[in-house]
Amino acid sequence: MLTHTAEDYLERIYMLSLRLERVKSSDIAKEFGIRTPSVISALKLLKEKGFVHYRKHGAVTLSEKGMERALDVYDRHKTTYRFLRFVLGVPDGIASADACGMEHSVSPETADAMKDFFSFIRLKKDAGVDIQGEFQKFRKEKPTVGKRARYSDTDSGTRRLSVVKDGIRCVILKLDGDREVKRRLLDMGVIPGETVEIRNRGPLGFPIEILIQGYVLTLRRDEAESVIVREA
Amino acid sequence: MADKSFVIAVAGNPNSGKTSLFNRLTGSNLKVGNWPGVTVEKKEGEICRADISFTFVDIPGTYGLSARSEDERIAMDFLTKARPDAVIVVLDSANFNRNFYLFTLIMEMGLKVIPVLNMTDMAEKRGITLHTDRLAAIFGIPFVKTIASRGKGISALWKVLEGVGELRKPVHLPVYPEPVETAVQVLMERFPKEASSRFRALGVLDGGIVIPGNDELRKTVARFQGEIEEELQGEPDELIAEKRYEFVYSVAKECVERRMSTEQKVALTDRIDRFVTNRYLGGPLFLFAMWLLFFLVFTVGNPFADWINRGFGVLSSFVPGSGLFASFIREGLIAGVGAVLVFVPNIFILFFLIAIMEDSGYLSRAAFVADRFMHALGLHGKSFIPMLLGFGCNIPAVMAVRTLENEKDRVLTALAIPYMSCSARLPVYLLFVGIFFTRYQSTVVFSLYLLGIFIAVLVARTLRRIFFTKAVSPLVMELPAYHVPSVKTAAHSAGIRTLFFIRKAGTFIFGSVMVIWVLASLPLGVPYASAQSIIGRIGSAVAPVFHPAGFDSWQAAVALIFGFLAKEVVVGTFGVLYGGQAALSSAIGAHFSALSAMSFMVMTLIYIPCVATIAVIRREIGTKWAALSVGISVTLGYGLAVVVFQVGKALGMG
Repeated sequence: MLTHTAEDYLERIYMLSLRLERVKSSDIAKEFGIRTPSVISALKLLKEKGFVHYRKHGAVTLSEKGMERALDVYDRHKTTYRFLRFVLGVPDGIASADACGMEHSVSPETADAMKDFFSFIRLKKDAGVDIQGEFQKFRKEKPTVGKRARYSDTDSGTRRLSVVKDGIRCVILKLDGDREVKRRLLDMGVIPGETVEIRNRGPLGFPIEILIQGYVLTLRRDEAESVIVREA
Repeated sequence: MADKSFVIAVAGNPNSGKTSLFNRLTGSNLKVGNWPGVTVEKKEGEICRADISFTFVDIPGTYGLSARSEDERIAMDFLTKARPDAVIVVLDSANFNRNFYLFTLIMEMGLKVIPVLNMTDMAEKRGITLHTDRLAAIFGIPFVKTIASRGKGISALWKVLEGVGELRKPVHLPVYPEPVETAVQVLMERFPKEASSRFRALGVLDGGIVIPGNDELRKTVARFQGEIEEELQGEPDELIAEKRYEFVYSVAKECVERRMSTEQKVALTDRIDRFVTNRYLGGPLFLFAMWLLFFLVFTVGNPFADWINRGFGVLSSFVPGSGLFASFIREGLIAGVGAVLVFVPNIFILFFLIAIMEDSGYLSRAAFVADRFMHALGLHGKSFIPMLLGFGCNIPAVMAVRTLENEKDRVLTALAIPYMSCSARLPVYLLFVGIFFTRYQSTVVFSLYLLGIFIAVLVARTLRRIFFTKAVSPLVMELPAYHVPSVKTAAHSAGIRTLFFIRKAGTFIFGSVMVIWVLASLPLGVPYASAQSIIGRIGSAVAPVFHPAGFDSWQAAVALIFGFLAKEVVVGTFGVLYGGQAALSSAIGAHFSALSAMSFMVMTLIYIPCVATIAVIRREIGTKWAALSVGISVTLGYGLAVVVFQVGKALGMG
């Protein structure tokens, strides 16, 4: 079994061979930012395993077996890089760095699926459906994740239950405030996603009666303030 | 002799009919006490059936099971630590979701459960049908339908109970999203020997269980909470509650059939509440209800109390002779028993009515209407009833604090009640205003009542600030659907409370009467409560202490000591010490001035509630608080009496 560094060597030698006539051990050392003797000892090991042809002070070339392996790694690198960069929209530097790590661990099946997904998006785009664009738009706004509504103070339409008028149906988004009160509210069925409605008020406006889970619950102003809702 | 014995806990939401069911199961084989270390009532009943001995333990009615409220902590500790053989979970069928949520929590504790779908008649009336066969198929355990208030379905429940040894544990439980489950798996290893380790792991994650001083565990939990929050975009407590409710919804979808919409379901209760909790009508209706309560407890109850008083009076008149022994029987024994039993009519009527109000659904409405006002005073809406009753008699008033859920509220209310001017203090006021304030009688008496209220509020607010800094108990309170209260259940509950009073407070009251009798009768041969008796000597010794308050006669001191037994006794004691009722007015006129009369009335209002009140305070909230109550009232009473006298003198009113 090859270690990652071995795969790295093969890939790097392959890439260097594309632009240099003769790849020397010192070129590899420069690429990796390590000392030449380290490269030489690694090359000896690769030679033993039959991946490279190498003679002292001579050029380094890949054997047939080594070439096959290098192309394979390089292919997985390209696939993951393209997936990260053009499907998920990860910035170039990060995509490249992540791809260097992932190329060694990603299975052929996953790599295949990534490739297919990439082609699928291209196909859709040609047919006028911009999945990648939609996804980028979604990420920018990030309105909801799954079923859960995300609360932010700046959202329009979200308010605290203490300022909602009677008889208006609201959806609970979030609870905050005192933990003891929150625990109690959760236990009694005041949970995000439920609808709630103010049914009635006490003599001085508070406490209020709310309708939740099909029964009536009372809340003081403070407690109503800890329930964040959006009008349904 | 029973072959096997099982401990069965009875759990459920408040208002689920848990008490009715418990009473049905145990009948009169009931033991009432307190949970260890706390003053929350614990009911136990032991019963033998089919050669099996069952011990039923009524655990506090709760909506959840966390360590954040006392009732829930007691319930949780009993279920997870005492580990009963099975738990009967009483569910209000008309309120399936919220009730089933608690049932889910108890299932997660890894206990055997016997779910009882109670009040099925109410549910049917609202168009809700529960399919027990489907529920049984999902969970692999029997579900029993009952109408506990009418005894229906109890025999079916007994059948399940008789087979409790072979009962299986429920097979269907909520599954949480991956990061939660991962955390639970890791945390469960921290509680390896516990059958309820899954519940505990979830509890520490959602903050329902407080992590004991274990920094390492706390860090682990915090890390998991952070991971869950990051991955699932929500706080763990909300997520877990949400998942549990989703679990409940999925069960309800399969097993609960609704023929009408939710809107129609609450229609009748809604219609009643259009008046009862109406913004404008709610207040007046509440005041009327309170007046009615007060009227029934005292105006109707007091004649019965008078009969008991007179009965004991007649009884002691049958005791012949004037020796020490006869006096012991008359002033000691008979008076002592009488002092206990005289409260029985008020207490019984009060708890009967409270049970009726609670059962019908009005009690929480009353708290709702009164809350804004009471909250401003630093108390809970439910404190209103005990405080109001204080005007009649402090004893049933203090006992009524058990309608409050929160211990802090119970303590504060019980400590405030003694300053509500009870009817026993009125004879003292009347005696003095009749002599010194003939023109302003009602004004003076009224101002004493106001002073009492003022001090009650002041004491409650101050003690809250000192002892319960972060103690605003929430008003997150269910307004249950109205239903016709059961007279039988109410009488049962009133009977239990009354017996509890006689047994637990009675001995203390009786003992105090005996002690005072001994002090007043010894040494041998002295006239009862005379200057030569021990009590007279104590009176003479402490009399100078009252000099700054303007009344330093030994008779006044002795009267105050006797007032410890019951405040109306103050008047009678003056009668005895000043040579009979006839000479009383002139004697008091000679010993007191208008100003010292005023300071004496203030003293009578505030110093020490009577022994019976102390006895019930001790019973309801504990000895330490009772001692504090005595300390505060003596200090305040004496201090204010001195202030009244000295300020009056400085203003030239002496």
